[in-house]
Amino acid sequence: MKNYFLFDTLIQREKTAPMITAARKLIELLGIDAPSFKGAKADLGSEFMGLDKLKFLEHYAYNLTLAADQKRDILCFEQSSFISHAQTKDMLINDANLKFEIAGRLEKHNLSLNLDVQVASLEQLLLEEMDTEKLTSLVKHPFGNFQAALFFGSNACRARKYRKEELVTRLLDSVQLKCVKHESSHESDGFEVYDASSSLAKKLAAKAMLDMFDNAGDFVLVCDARSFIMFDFYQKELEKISGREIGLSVLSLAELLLLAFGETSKKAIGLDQHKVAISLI
Amino acid sequence: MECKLALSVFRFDAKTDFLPYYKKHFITIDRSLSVNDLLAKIKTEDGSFDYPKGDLAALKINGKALFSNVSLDGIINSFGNSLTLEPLSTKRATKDMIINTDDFYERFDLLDAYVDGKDRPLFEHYMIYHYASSVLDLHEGFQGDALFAFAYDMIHKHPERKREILEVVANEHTGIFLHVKLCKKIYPCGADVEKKITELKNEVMKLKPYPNTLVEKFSHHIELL
Repeated sequence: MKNYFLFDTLIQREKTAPMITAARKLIELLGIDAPSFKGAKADLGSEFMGLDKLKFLEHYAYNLTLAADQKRDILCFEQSSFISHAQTKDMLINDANLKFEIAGRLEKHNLSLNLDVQVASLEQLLLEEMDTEKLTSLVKHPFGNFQAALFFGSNACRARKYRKEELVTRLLDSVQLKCVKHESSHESDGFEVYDASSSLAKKLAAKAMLDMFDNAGDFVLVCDARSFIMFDFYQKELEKISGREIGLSVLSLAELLLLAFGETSKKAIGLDQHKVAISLI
Repeated sequence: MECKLALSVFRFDAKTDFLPYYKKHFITIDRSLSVNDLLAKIKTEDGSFDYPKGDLAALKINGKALFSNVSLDGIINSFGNSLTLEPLSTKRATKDMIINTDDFYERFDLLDAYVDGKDRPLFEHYMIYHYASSVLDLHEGFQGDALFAFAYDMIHKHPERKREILEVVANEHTGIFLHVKLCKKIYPCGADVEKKITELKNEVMKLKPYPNTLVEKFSHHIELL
């Protein structure tokens, strides 16, 4: 297996701490060589590309170079950081002018642009590098009695270029989790407009949440830290703005897998830090 | 090659109906034909059904906005044989698939003073992007993604009008910063327009067309990096 850095400086860390706790725990449990990516610049979200494309690329090129110089790939356990790193690498490889510009900017930090690094998602790592049978053998508490509402969000379109969505559903199959059908799986979670209009952001998030609730999801499974923020951290506000109770727990992939693998300590998984209580265990 | 489609077709007549409903149709059709041909076939089954015609005819299939001249083969490959046909906006439906597009053309008026009348067909070409956005129903006055894509084209065609055009789309209450990604809401894919909107935002941030608290706030974010 390759050597990785675990990219854990997620967007708005104070609101995404549970995702980070769970990912670290899962990596430890599976014995993956992926220490925390020290010195990496924190995720900004791909929205930032709309504000200043060159600064966005410089920001992530810094991380790519840092990891490449230490001969480690970057392991992202959620979609926001995965897209930003993968897209930066892709854009720089395919545009010589951009690459030259960003290399010049990095030189000011005494770094020589190095793109000899892979950006992997957690689901890619688990399914493509680990033995599927080993994963299945770890499952102590299958989710056969539950139905999740799987939410990819409107950013998934960009992620699809770099990793297949089916990988997530294959992982869910391994823990016997079924998913409800709903129309919001690729809608906006509202995060991308939060700074411009928090009320519009919450209306968008509430619309998606209510759709998942009305389609009888027992909980929401999110792939992106931004969705986690909107659906867990702001859920009370979504209820206020929509005038309806929601009460849907929100889980990340790492949290779900840890629960399936028999981890019951809410603190160890990070579930004690959720705004919406988890009643699955 | 022929195939059988199970259709759920939106029906509403603003003159007589209080609520819309969906009518089922099971139609066998050649996959090499277009969505327009499918709509015509529905019309032969039910003479009261109506739909938009011409180059700008468009609708939503399984929630995705598209022009009706696209091939059925691609639609069936993407969505399967069970299709839900709706107008571009169910709220603005006047007769089945036909909608009132006044709101769309009102957006053109925002840039009318800075572009040529000859540019109007290009704006119309972006109609599906206007109605694909979820923001349109949730935020009154939202300028819409069609206008943003059109503005991007216009600042390249009329660079001398760049500042004025950017001032319009930078509006902090109705403008480009309220845009949400819509790649998955367009068939076949809205990636090209998404790219234009990202570039246009960058232009706004570079030029900072007029004092605008939102642009100032974002500039501050950038400086903090």
